[in-house]
Amino acid sequence: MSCGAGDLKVVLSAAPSTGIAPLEVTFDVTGSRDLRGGALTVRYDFDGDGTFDTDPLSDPQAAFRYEAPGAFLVTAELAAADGRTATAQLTVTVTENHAPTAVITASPAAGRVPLSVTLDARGSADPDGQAIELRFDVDGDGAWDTEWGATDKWQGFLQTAGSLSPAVEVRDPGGLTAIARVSPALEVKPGADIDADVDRDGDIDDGDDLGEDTWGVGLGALLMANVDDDDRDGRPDGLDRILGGADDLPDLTPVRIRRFPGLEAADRVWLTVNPEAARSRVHVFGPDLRIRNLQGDTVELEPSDLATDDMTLYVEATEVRTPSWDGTVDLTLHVQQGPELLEDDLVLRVTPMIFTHHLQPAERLYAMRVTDRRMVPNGPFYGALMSMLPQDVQLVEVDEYDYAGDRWLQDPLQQGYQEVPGPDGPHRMVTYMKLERPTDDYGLEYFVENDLLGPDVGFAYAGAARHTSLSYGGNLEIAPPHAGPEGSFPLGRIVIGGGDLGLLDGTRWEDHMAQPQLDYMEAQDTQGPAVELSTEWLAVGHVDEMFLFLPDLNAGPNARPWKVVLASPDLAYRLLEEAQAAGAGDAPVFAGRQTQSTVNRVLADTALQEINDAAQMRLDTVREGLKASLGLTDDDFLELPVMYETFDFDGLELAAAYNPGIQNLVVANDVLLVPDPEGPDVNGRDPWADSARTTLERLGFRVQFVDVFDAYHLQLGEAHCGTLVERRAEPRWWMRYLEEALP
Amino acid sequence: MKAWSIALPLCLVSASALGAGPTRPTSAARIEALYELRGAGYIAERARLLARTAPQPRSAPHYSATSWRRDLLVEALVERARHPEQAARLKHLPNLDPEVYLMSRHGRPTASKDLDGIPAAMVLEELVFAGEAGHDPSGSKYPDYLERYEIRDLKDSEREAFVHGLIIAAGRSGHPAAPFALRGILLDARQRETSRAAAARALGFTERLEALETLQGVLHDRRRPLVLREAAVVGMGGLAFETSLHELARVARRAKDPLRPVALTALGRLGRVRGGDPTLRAEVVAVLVEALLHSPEHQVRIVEALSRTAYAPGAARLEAVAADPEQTDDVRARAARAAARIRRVLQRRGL
Repeated sequence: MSCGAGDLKVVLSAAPSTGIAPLEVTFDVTGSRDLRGGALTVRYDFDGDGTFDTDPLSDPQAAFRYEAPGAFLVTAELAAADGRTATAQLTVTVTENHAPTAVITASPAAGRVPLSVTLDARGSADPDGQAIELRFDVDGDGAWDTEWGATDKWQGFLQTAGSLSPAVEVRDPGGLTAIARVSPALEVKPGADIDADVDRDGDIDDGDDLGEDTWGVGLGALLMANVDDDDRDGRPDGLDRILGGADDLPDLTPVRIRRFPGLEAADRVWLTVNPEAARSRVHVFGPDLRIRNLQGDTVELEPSDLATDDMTLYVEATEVRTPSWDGTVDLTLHVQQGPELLEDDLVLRVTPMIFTHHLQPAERLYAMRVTDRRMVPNGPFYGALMSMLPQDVQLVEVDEYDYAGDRWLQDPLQQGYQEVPGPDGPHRMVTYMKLERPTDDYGLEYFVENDLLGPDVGFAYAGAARHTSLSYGGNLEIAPPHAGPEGSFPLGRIVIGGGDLGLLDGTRWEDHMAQPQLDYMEAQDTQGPAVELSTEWLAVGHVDEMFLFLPDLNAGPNARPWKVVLASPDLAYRLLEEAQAAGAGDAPVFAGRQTQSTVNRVLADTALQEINDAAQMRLDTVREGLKASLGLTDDDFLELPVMYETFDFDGLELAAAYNPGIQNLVVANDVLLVPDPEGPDVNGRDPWADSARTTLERLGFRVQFVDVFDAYHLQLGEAHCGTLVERRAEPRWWMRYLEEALP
Repeated sequence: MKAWSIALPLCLVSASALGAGPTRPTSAARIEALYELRGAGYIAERARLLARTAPQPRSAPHYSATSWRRDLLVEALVERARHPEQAARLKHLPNLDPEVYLMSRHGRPTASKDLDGIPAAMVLEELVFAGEAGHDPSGSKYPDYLERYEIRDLKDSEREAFVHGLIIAAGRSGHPAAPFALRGILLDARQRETSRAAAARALGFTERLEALETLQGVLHDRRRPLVLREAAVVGMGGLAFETSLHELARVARRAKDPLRPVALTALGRLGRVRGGDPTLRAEVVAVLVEALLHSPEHQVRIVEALSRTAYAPGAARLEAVAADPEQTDDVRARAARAAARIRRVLQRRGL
């Protein structure tokens, strides 16, 4: 609307100018002008009563809320500083708001707990044509169970028995509401209802009925194998038939049976446990935390236990998933009420034992401190651990006399964990897999039982199998999470050594990790199937004699966050040849060591060169295997100068590192403890060490070389072989699968 | 490799080693007959043969059992004097120390590389022809000079490892006695099979034609245990002669021959780019490429062998096959992978 005579022109608008009460209107005189220039003010009469409702405003906009219906003549008076005025008027029409109508129906009309019901409020509407919001009281208890929203249907389970009148409340934008209730009331009788934390939110609630009779990697109740020792009696807690104290309770999974009033003494309530493989591996404890005996497949309960309250049982598994049992427990609740038999089914599954990888932060490092001269002391190495480990990694000393100097901490165990949801967040148990490495009366064979088993630290063991060093922990690495041509591995993938390509000279030879142990790891159904790469040509036969997976701390946001560091005889030779060309042919290699040599002698050793040529070809084959299985490219590999030599083992010429195997290092958060290769001194520098340092520092690490020569290297092992690192994985392992499934 | 400058019993066919001017070698038949003898009979026959040679400056005019052993002792002492650092190491053989290898990860003794440089061939011959190696040592008397190697205190498995170490060291020493000592082990049915196989492989390091002849004999004799014939094939891969190529190629072409896999690897060693005979390489590659294209079951082994040759024309040939539409997809894929591997080696080594 434009008005005004003379030099003042008023342009008035209203948005909106019509609507339903209550109506918020914004008035605007932007566009008005004084031909003579100068500041202007405006005042408004919003309700047409002849009285201006505002003082003179310098802001051209003003808002007003009309609460009641009516037609209102709005006047805007524009004033110049010299007192000249001009007005404009328009009409705002506000119509009456009418309350919406609410309608609700329920289907089915009757049933037993847990009753799957649909509440339908699609008949609800607003007579004024406005959009409405709805919320539901699904069980008719007077408390609204959903938030305001546009959804006009609700589907779910009713857990309460009785005559129920679910309701819907409808609201229009003006705030007028209407409520409707289901009529006649839903008749919900008690039913057989057994629940656990299916949705893994830490509680048993109404959201846990959906999907309770199936199990999936992202949804389904979890059990923990109770293989730790909370009561510190020296045995895994699941081995006995008693609860190991209050600390043991979080290792058990609560299972709730809904109360069932009206049962009589002659009625019967019982649980059945299936499959048969589960019956010998599962314990059921009552609310009193005493074990309930399993007779065949049955646990009898008392009808009176369900008369007034819900009943909570506690279930523990005594084993991790194995080749003969995938960890599934099918609990069926049976309620015989007179002639009527009611049943409800709940499926639980033992959480997998998941092995950790190098991208996960280190918390603890175990190493043996050897001081006894009869056992080849490792003072320089252990001293380096003490001074160079990051502050957030605890160094734990393993006694040399307890284990007769058997310093190979990497070999008897593989660290993993189990995790289940809990009321205070995920509950975790460090779970070691004990590997097949018998050492009779000496050695680390019983290290896990003696020194590690305790509260929240347990172990699993596949059992006796063919003895080969390929079953040791140095031959078991976990490739970090990745997706490749063979699938997606959000928790990483098992990589082991073994094969039938034979020795470097072509002699037929085959060796593999003991099959029962491999089957046991793959039975966790999480990080398998394992990738097997040729190590049968090596004296100890371990993948860590060839490569390791390292974090790339400098990786960009879209780049792979890890690399493979791989031994390279060709690189080692090239560096020696460069040293020779630089005039350092007489420089000692392994200066001062038992096997001291010179650059010239090493390069002149044709037998050694033949071994390394063949080793390089085999390592190229291993590289191709890693690329094909894990979807890697050449850019994912970094080479380290490592040569090999052979030893005769009962007629077999097997290879081992000639210089300390640089790739056989320790990853301790942002620090790498790297075997000192002890290469030649070329103008005060060791080219092997320099090459390794440059390569590894590029990944963002602080590189610390450590002396492993006498105490480890000469005994066919290095730094990684001599240490066990306990790592902490990210919580809620199942989320890795759900995140992957999200678009 | 050392060139021995004094007389040694086995240097009958290498007269220059006697230090007394060229000596006509005895006939092959007499040498052959010598190896059939044992113990005192061997000593006597060898002494008789050596009587034809000129006397040695440091030895008795004629060899007797005593003087021969004494001469070996002198030889060992000379070596210790020449290479004291090796002598210092040889006082103790750590890999054969039970307490030490209990700390190691394998639990079995290894053949000590500390044996490198000692007169291994001589020691080996002593052990073999004095009837010691591979036999029950209980009640046997070791030669005095071997006492220093602490053999008496070794357990059986350690002793076997020691003998294996001698075999390996002898093969790599370049000592002219080595082929004969190793041949003796290989052909002696009383020796452990693992020792005999190790001897066959060690012959492959001697670079001697007589070693090839020995290995051929074993390969062709189908009555021999397969493990020995296999070791003979391994050994041939180190002997850069045309004969080796023909023998290995013949086996490599026989689809059902159990020795075929080993022959394929041995061909790679024969045609190796580093330290190998360049005249053999093209022929070796031709055989391997043919095997690769027609028999996929050993493709990993063949690719490793081809990679060792680092033969650029071989890579080119494979690339041509990979691009040939007349070939099956599988053959083309195989050829492409092998060519890529060879190219990688060429690039990495700057060839």
